[in-house]
Amino acid sequence: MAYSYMIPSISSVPSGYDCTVVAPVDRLGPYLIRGRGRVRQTISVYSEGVKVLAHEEVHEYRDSKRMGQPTAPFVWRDGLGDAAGYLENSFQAADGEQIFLTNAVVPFYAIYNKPGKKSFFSDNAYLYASPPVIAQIAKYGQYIDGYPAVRVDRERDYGESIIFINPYHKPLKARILTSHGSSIAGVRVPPRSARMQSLEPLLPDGANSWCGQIQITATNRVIAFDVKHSLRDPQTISDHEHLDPYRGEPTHFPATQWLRLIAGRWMVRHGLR
Amino acid sequence: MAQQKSTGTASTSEAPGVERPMPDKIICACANLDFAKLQEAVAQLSHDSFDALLARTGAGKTCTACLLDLEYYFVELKAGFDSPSGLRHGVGEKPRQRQSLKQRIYGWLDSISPPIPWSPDNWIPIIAGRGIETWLNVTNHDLLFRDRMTAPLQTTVTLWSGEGMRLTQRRLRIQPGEEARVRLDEEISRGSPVSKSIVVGSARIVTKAEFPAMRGTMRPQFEIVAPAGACAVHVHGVTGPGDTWFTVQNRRGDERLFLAIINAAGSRQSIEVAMPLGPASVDDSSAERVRLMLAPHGAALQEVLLSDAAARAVGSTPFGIRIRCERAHKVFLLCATRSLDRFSVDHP
Repeated sequence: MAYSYMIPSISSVPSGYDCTVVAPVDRLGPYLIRGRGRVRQTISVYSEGVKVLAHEEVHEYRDSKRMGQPTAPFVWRDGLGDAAGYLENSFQAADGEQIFLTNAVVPFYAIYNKPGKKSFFSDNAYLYASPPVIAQIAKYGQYIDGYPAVRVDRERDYGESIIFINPYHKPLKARILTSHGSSIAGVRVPPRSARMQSLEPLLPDGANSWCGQIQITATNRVIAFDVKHSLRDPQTISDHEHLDPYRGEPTHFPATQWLRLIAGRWMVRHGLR
Repeated sequence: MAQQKSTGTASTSEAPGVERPMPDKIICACANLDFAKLQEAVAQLSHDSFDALLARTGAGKTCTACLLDLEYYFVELKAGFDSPSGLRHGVGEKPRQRQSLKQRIYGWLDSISPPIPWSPDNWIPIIAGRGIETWLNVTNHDLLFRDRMTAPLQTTVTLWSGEGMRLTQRRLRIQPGEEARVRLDEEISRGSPVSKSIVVGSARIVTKAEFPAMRGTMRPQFEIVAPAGACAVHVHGVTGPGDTWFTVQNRRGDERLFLAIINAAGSRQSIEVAMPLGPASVDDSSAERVRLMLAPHGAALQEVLLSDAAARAVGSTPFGIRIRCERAHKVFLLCATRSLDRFSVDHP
């Protein structure tokens, strides 16, 4: 099967940080039929419904290697004010031909930092057709995502938020609920926009801290990341992680399959395959 | 210290599931697109993207209520059109392909074989230091997945010191609707040199369901809780032998980067850390190298420090770090403030 495109991916652009995208353009060769072709890379940054930046490059591949000089990584300079945004990266055949062996997203990290702040790293998400999300829609007909390690603590200044990214043309509404029965309803995300929703309102009545699991659901598919930050200053971010969608796999599998797995590993370890 | 608590489940509307629709079922009312027309559109542009499908049909663009279904049908229908045998299959069905004799024998053996629990071998670093705690979180809540067939989880946590000494083993049993949060750093910091501001050990995490059920959502997560902030990441299976890569920037004025390297093998192994490497910095032959020898199940915290010459050559350009291991291993990247009061943690 051949494709003229790879599924675009989304990285979040939180305010208060520069974002360096180290897209794997040097590793694309093996994804091309006969290791050759011309690939157009497009990076677009959106915020508050507006495409605020577009960047395009064409890369040429021969014998699975990229031709020409090393490319400089794409850097988005913090400039959205208090608004969050998102970045879409896509690879397409420059001449429209079917040159890709697969259309699966090539994973990569973005590096976020700013002078005086430590960095954090985050991976990219499928714009659409993410396999676990498709499996989940098949099973439940509803978009649900989750995260089990929320920790909000007013005394220790531990804040936490969900960044919701809506890359579509209409607004969506999301809801967050917890394992102890609290919820935040009606999180509205306008089209082509991102919203950072604090999880502080999930603190139980009278409590200063809470650890637990959340799930989110929305009227449409939404791309979400969990961000751990200072409660007083949400633009001081410690960590930025993807959520953990439903996995429809069984917990058990046939013993004969396990034996084949063990035998395969043994053969690989001993250079027999 | 271990906390285990039981909480209620919150659930909302009935989750209907997605079935194969009739050909005349309207998928997008705004664009008057039924399932038959959708199939036809996907077949016609089977080499094109989801965005192209939306552009061509006009579906999913007005009220957008159908976008989730459109995305699902697009992937499922394309999988049918793209199957190697050229046979087309319906939504929710596996592609029909001619199976080889080997596949048929394996299929028959699997059908008569008893089921065994999937219990991947996961390793995590345990970070300990002044005001720094490491926690393990295992949850078994359904919440919105209320029709999931659930089973109690058994989690075995085995702790090793950085020198590879086995410290403790704990067994947790987590019922559906429960979660376990276990602090792991105390055993690691006990007995470690007082002079060290930060020390590392490791834990092997094996989680399995007590009887056949659905895996659901939640992989165990480990958290590093420091004085000014917390970070967390899900547990990850063992890799190697082979190379693990990270891409970072040299910002030693603002942060400290560490590689938490775990030897998951039962024998000693030599590990080479090489940096800085491409794409735009220094080639392999001139990279700086550090060699570590780890005891069986031992762990090391290797700070990422470039020489002044390498730092000047790299500037602010991202560079690669290669960790070459000869046996099973796991490596995590920690990025901390200079004062070690806030961390982030990532896997390759």
